[in-house]
Amino acid sequence: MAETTIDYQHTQKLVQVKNLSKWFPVKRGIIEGIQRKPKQYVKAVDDVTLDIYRGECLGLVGESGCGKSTLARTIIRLYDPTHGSIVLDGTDITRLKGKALRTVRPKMQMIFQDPYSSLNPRMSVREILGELLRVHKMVPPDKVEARVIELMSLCGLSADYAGRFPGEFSGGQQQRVGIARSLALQPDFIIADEPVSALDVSIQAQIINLLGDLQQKLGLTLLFISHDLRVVRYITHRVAVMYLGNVMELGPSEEVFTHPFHPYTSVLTKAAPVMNPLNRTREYAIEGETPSPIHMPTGCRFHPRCTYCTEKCRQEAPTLRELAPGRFVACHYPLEAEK
Amino acid sequence: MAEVLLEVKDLKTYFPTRDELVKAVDGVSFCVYKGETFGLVGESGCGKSQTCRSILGLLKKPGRVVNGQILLNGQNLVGLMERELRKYRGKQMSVIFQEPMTSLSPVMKIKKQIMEIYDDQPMTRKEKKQKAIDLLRMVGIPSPETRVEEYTHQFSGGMRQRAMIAMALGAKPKLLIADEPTTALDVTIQDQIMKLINELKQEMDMSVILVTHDLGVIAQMCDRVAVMYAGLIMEMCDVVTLFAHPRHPYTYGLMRSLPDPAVKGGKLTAIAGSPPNLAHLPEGCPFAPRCTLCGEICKKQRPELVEIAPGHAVRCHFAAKTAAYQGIITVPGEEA
Repeated sequence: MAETTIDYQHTQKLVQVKNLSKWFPVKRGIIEGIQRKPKQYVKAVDDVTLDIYRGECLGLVGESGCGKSTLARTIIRLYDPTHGSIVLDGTDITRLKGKALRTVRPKMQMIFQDPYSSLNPRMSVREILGELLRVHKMVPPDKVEARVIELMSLCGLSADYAGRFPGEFSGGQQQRVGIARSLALQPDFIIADEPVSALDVSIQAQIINLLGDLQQKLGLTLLFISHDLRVVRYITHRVAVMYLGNVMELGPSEEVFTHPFHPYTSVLTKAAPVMNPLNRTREYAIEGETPSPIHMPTGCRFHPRCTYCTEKCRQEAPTLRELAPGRFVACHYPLEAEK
Repeated sequence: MAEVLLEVKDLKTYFPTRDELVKAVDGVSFCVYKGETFGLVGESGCGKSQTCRSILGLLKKPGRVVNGQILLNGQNLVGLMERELRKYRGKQMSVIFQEPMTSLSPVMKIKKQIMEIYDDQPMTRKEKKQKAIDLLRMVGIPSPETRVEEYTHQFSGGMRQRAMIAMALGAKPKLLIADEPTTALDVTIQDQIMKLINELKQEMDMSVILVTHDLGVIAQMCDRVAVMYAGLIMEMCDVVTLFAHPRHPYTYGLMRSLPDPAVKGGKLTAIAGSPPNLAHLPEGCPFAPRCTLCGEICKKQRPELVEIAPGHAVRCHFAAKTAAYQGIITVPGEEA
């Protein structure tokens, strides 16, 4: 969790993402086909380069439709990447197929946003967890039951609940089952896609604490996707801010949120409502809305909404560069650059 | 104090099902003054939305108001026929729901949906259309002349919510009920919609009931707040008092469970357990099983909502013990 510090100089990179893109083709109608209009793509993820270090919790924030989930799903090969490469623990998994892909699958697991729809309603917790252990031959058949109980207690579920079905649990408990399932195969790398967004406020803290505990206890590497900046700031070591399929800023969470370099990061932090009725802002954090990922703006993709936009921003797309040690930003005119 | 616009007295809304009785709202009383924003905050299933639907007369079956009064400008709305209620809906009170796509018609042009508001008024089509365009302009939709001709799916999420607001405000209601108006939206759009509601509220001299689960939205928008839990109001006071001096263990627990940017690392103080089943509420205080202060009396007897200071009501047997609670803000001029 965030209280542990990571020595980035000496820590191994577990996941290396290079120039990764995932484009989804837009279906053309018959008439457009006859007219031979050019094929269009939704550029959900467009040229993302990112390293994830062993044992760290990396946050991924951004508005809906910015490509956070697509990036995550492409990294663990639920989608086939359009361009670029993904290296997991030294092995290039970009083009793996079939059996080879299946052997790396257990190393990367996912926790989903809606725990109920990601659990089979007709299987008890014992069956959900047991099936995984048996299929992947994690433990000998006679040890499966013991391992199921162990996983459940690790996630704060009483052993009495093993026979229950997902529908009999509350939202928080369902998410605990989801987490237990992601841990069953002892993965190196877990992606948590908005794991607390569907939960009530009083339950969120329980799940965040659980994830933090597990990360410390098991030395997990976590990619934590969320739109809730407060939670991300609390739980993650580093954070990547995405906008329209691209990483705009990457750096240690605390620094990024207190002194953002990218105007978009600054907008995001200002837009989140402040928990203080004595401190009410009357200005808009930002005008306008996110453009369509089919017709991407020229130059910097944030320029139509940016207050510091110049001619250069309209023409030329900035690349992600290291501005201060460990702090990357994709902007021609970063804020507080002099610091 | 200002005039009372809406008064809800001991409202009970129950959902009888074949084998159990779900008490969604179980004795809620509050009033909304003219020109204020009143917040209803609570977790899912605490009855905040059902309270609003009861006020509007839009309860889904088998829900029924079994007790209490809802007085809008002195007129009781409980027990009114659908035809009579229509005189109030839209003109006196109006609503915005969470998910604009489900409350807008996908097969009608935006203009037609807005023009419907004026169907009972002697206006030509042209005048109505002009009204619709003016409304869209008021809520900040760019080039409204062309956008009125479009369908809902051509609008983005934020635009749809703006269109919903335009429709809700078309007949200049005195009371706007906003049920989680920004929950489905991104933070930057949420920020825009919150400010839009605030501006329009002032311009049109409305009162707003804002339902949300987000304490941040409450802090930014509301004048007074009621915290609900299991169909009951647990604490009710002005918004500054709520954040500076919460007195109910539940309110306090909610605030403590939020990640504090000033404190990095360590554990969050979660509220143990989960909310109760509304069909099988505990006999005493519904929060008792999760409460840190729970005593014998809490398990047996439900506490009353008691005014512990002017304008600050708390439903807790041990309200005397909670005076030491530190909120998450400090008010300048008050010594800690």
